Amino acid sequence: MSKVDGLYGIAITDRDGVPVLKVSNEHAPEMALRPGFLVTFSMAADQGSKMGLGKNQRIVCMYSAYQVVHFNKAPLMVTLVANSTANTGMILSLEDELTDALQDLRQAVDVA
Amino acid sequence: MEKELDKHLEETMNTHGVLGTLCADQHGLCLGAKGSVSTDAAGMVTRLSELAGQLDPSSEEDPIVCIESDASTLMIKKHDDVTMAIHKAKVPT
Repeated sequence: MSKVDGLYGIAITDRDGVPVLKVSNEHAPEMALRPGFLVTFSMAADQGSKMGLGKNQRIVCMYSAYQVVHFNKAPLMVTLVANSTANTGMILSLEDELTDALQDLRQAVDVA
Repeated sequence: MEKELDKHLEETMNTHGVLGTLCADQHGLCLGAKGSVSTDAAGMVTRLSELAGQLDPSSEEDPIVCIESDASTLMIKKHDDVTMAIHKAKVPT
């Protein structure tokens, strides 16, 4: 998390928004790391994949105070919550590192 | 929409010694990239320029960042909300 200034939290969940791994600091909005919020991105990714443009890989949502970046790593979903002024490009560049770390977690969700 | 920018990047690429160019917005998102500079570098290029600017907050102008290696130089400059990076081969002496 310290690699990007303004990154407040990272949540790795399954397709239903159930958290597998979650890290956050005191600045992270509590609502943004709840399963009810996280599952909406999973649904949005599914809908986005139906637009005839191929599989939806990432979603970036900009809000006035925060930004939410979502990576579709089916069966896992990775959600990053950051300040709206944080460098979105740097957050997106974390994808490769996070993908490597997901290999072991993916097996846990597949078995379940 | 990006035709004008693409044209300018292409003109820059035609300059002697230029290996690659990249243009990024204030969020670190790539607006255009050509040649040796990857679109993935947009975030880092923007961040480097921001950090360099913090070294002298009183300065009115954004600094030019030069990252030199044995074979090439990467020059980064921010102007308003746009950050430009040019990767240039070093001229052998």
